[in-house]
Amino acid sequence: MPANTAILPLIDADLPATRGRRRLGQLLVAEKGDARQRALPLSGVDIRARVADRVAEVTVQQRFLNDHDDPIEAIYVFPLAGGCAVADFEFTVAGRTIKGVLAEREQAREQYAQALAEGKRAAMLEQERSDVFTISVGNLPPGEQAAVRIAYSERLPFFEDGHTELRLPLVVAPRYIPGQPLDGASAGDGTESDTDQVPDASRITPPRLAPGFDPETALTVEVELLGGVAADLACSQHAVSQRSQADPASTLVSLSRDDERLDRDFVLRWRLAHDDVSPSLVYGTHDDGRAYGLLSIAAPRTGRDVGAARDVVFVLDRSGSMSGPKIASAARACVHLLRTLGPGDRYTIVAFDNLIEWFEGARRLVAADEDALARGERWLRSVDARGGTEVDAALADALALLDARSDATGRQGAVVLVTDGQVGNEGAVLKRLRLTRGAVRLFVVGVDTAVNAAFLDQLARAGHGTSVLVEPGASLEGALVSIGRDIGRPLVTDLSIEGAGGAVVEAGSVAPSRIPDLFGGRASMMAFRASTAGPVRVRGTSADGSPFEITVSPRAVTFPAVAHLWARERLADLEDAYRLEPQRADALRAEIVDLSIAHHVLTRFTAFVAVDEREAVANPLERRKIVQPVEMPASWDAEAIGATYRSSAMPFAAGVTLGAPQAARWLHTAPEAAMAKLGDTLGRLTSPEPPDEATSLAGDLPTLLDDLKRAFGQAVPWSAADTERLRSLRKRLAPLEHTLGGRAREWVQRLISILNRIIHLLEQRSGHDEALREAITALEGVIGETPLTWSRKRRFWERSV
Amino acid sequence: MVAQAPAAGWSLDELVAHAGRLLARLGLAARVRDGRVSPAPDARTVRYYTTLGLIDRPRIDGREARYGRKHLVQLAAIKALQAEGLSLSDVQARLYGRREAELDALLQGAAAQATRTPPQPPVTTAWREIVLEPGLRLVASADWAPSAREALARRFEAAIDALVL
Repeated sequence: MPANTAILPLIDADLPATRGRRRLGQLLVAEKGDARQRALPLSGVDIRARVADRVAEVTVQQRFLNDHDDPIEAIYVFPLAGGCAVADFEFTVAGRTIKGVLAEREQAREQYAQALAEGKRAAMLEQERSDVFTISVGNLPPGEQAAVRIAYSERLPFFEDGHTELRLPLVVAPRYIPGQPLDGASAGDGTESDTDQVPDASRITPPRLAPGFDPETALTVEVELLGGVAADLACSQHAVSQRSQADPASTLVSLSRDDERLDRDFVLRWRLAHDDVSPSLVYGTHDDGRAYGLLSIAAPRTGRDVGAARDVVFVLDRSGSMSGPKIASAARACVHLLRTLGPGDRYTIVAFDNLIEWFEGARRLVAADEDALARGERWLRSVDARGGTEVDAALADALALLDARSDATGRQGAVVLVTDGQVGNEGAVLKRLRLTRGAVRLFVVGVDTAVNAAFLDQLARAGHGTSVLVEPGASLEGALVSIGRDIGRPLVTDLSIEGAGGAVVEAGSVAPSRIPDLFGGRASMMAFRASTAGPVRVRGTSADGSPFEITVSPRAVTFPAVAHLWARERLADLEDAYRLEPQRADALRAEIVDLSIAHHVLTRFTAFVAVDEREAVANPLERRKIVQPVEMPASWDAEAIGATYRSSAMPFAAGVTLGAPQAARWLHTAPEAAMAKLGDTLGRLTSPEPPDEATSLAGDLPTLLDDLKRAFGQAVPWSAADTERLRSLRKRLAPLEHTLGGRAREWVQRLISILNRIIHLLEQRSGHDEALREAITALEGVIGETPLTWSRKRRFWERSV
Repeated sequence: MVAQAPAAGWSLDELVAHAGRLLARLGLAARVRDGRVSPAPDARTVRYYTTLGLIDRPRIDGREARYGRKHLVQLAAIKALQAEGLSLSDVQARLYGRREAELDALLQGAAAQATRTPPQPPVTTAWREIVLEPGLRLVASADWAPSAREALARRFEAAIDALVL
């Protein structure tokens, strides 16, 4: 390793870094020619990012290979940073590079289909969500390689402590798809049918790789941090940093392993050289001759604790996708934020999946005194993950509670949503928020390794609040400090911007049109169009009612990306308006398409298409369409999620009370019956297996536990045959150690070790009853905290089929 | 050999029933039962295979999922490979992106083999490989177990000698 190379600390050491590690040198010999295993179309992903002054310019290259004996069309659904401005697309095939053309989406689709029908090679890039995209590469002849190159720019967030981060998402996580499936053909190639609530569900649900399947997609990531050596670098993957050869003032970060899988976001964090959040203004130009500005300002620091008493509703996502470490992290995040409440504040908690459950079974706010906080913490710890993500109804209910307050005078209302945001009907949720006026702010805590960040950020902005992302298992407290301080207490509101000294800020060009309020220690960013690149003045109202005013001068360097970022912000505003004002839909759609094409920035209404006109290569009748299956995100329980779930038509019920967490209770039944039942369960658990082990274990393990408790709750003779069955159960669990990953594997290992202890005690059973009970209590603990939440999962599976 | 679906398609339950019958007719059901996988796929399993892209998304008719002949062949092919002892990830690697005709051929092959021979060990052999130095690899089959180590070491040296000379 060269002397100036450093190994970066891992951001989240709790996550299994070795999950799914590629096996060393395995050679598979398959003899049937036609049944030969074919490589999946996506052979590699190469990401290069350059970061300067909190603007990242990223290129993503995806390489495709046709390993079949006939032409293929490859489809790949993949993520890019939410809210980024995709401004360039290239298709390289047969030694030629074709520049992508941005066109109205239907037109682009027609061009692409036409090219394929003529036997030509072509590629198309479409946007499904602000962070979900689809690439289609068509008519690749047998054995041929092709590559697409996507370029985008993005503004990076930054935090009070002077840190910033670059997040490169690598996998589209499964999303909960509500609604009833629609008749007729679906629009996309995913595994879910379009539904009345998510009419493009088939475009955002790529197939998943089976557990244990390594697609051997090569991944390289290189990030160049320009201008100043970045301090406190940390990365979510194993990575190294070194000084740039060309520019010693820059830092180069790259992955240190060539076998990282595309199953989690790549996150790089560092501290900015100048660590205070001073205002910054940069300009860029576009071929229309006008100047595009990007301004970031922060609230002045104040030592005083201003603000009114608060009424806070915590809305906790307990859907199936939150199972495992995520729900634990989410509950912990709530507990932490509870502790930021003062005695004058009030709060309540609502947990949702298909059902909405209020804290202590009552839809009311409680005074945040010591006792109520302690009860809240206990309640939070009893919440586990189970059903679907009906976030919309839960939010509506929480907002309604705050809106209906009769005693709200002088109290600031806030909703804190803790979720992974993996829902398909983002539009409906956003719309509800935008329509909700009043003195309620929404704060969002996103918990995941592959979080639906764009959606959560949009939610928070629509709700006049802020969002923060935390990785499950990582240090939550640090990340939550600022949001805790933010809740209900903006420092500057009613912001506006105007030119100062020459420059004229174009009326109506400021994006986002609703300039975010300033919270302590956080910056707000806005983009605008101006006559020339000059200084600007920002006005607003401070929390104490006094006027706020600053003038910001531009920096000398210009950033070409600024024009793209302005267009992206402006398009986001227009897209919001499109959702909210159906009566203006056609006009807004036309405006979006025009702006998108004029500024060369991709939207959901446009698409990039690149056609290789040089030659026709394929008989289109023989085309094989292959959708690249993608990884299950690292912190998800592959075998528990299994099916991407669909909600059954489950009515909402407010005020359902949670059952108390099951304490270790000994159950009493007739000894003979208890033993017979235990024998049955063990017999079932050790019989030749059904298709997937996890599914049947899901139901049977808790039953086994109950049976064991029945059996040991009273002194009954224990038969040698039953001990033998326990041994075969242990034997049956053993292979799971190899097929499961991460926490699930650890869990199985602990389960096996407790079984060992029970078997050992049984073998020499004499006066060890107390020890046995202890072992079974431990077993209960393990089964109770299973990362797969077996019993709930099973019920959910049954409901979802 | 494979049943044609009616124009309206099959429900999920009907698909599962047809798959069970098809496997029995092909003589694969008995093999499946001997193995570690269940002969009759259930509805939940079919949904899981769909998320893996091994079974196509069903057609939606009157808000109901409807399945056709290709779905049946896909399901039967999965079960046929599992009967050969392949894991689900190996099955996915083999079957992913296959056309209906290819799956038909695969099923025919499996059926022919089933009637010809009793169940056989898996057709895939896994090898482990270690690179000793550039240009030299040691390859061991997955079921290899070490014999006497000293004798092995002697043979290894002799082999190196033979290679060097």
